[in-house]
Amino acid sequence: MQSTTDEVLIERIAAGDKLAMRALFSRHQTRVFRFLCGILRDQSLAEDVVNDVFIDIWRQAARFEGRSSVSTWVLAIARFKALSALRKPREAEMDEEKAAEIEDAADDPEVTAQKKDKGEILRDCLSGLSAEHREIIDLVYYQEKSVEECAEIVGIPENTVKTRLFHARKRLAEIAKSKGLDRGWP
Amino acid sequence: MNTNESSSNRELADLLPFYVTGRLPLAKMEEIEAALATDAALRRELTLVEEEQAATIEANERLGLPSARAGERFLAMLDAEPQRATPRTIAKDVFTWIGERLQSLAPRQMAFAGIAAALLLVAQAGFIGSLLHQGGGTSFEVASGEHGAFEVSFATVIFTPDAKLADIAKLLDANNAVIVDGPKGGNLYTLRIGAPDMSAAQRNAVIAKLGAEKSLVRMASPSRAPSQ
Repeated sequence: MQSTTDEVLIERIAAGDKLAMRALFSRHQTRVFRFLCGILRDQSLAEDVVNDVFIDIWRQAARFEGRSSVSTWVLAIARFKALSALRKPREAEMDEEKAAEIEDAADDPEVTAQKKDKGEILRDCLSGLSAEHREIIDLVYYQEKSVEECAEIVGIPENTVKTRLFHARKRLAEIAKSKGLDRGWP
Repeated sequence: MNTNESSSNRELADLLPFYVTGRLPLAKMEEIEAALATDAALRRELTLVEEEQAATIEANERLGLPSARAGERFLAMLDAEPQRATPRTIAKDVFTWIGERLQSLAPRQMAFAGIAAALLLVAQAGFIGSLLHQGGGTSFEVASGEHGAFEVSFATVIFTPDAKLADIAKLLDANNAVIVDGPKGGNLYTLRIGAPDMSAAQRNAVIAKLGAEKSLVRMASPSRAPSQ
């Protein structure tokens, strides 16, 4: 049986159908939550922002024009909300260098490489990326968005998507190297 | 940097992350497939991209799921949101309803239905006009009057397409309601309901009573005084 498309759900939500809203929430909640965790780095705050995002969708569903997919529209709203949430308390932001330093202080690179497999090291390295780099990596590899969709969500030109992704991958390789994992690239 | 090795395919190499997720146009996917067959440096980079993809997916999966409590909070927030029915959708529903019935009619029946509909529209306009007149049109207080606009209770209603005029009149009488404005876009009518000094709870009760008449009323909600 074919499930109702996101677009149909949005149409029903615009007409005031709360059941459709629940369906859309169940369908996208986890992906949006994980995307927000990448930006906010705070699961509790991410949960709150997820709820704000979907309440906004409930209120603004009639404004959805169908120029992009619903999931792209939802992620664009989520990103906007996350950046607004970050501007509020302005907690000490951990940049990639600081994150890398903390990891470096904890473990000697070679010991780290011996203790962990390649995948585990790469996962650690992802948390050392800047929010901007982590965001583009998540959008492409996890959210599986196209160049055009990334451009729309982040609000940057398509060429910038490609160059930002290149620099994010390059930075990931540098952090990995500093942890004893030389990937031979770049 | 291996870019020297694969510089001729740097443009394609930058697209490898989209290649592994299948988010490229078919022609570009095929171009990369062809390049991979002959370019060892590009194949090596593809392996790195696949590792990055696996690590990113794993890192996201490890974040786990949002808590059940967060989901409950959302549902509570959603329940607290006012119920709404957009005029556009209701109008669409009405037209869909009419369209479905018209489609099932034979041409002769259709012609007859057209005449009947025209007569009904004339009759309904006249009848509702008389209700409007009966309501006085000026029997409610406007914002600039002695009573502020919010001291008189108004409701916006949309009647169901198959509501009989006699039944509408009975319903209005039973609830001490008169039509003071409409129809507007989406077939909206404004009613003045009850006495000017009725409490908000009483007003809401009347609106709920109107809305409960599902066979006659499609939507009923509190409203401001109609603009003059």
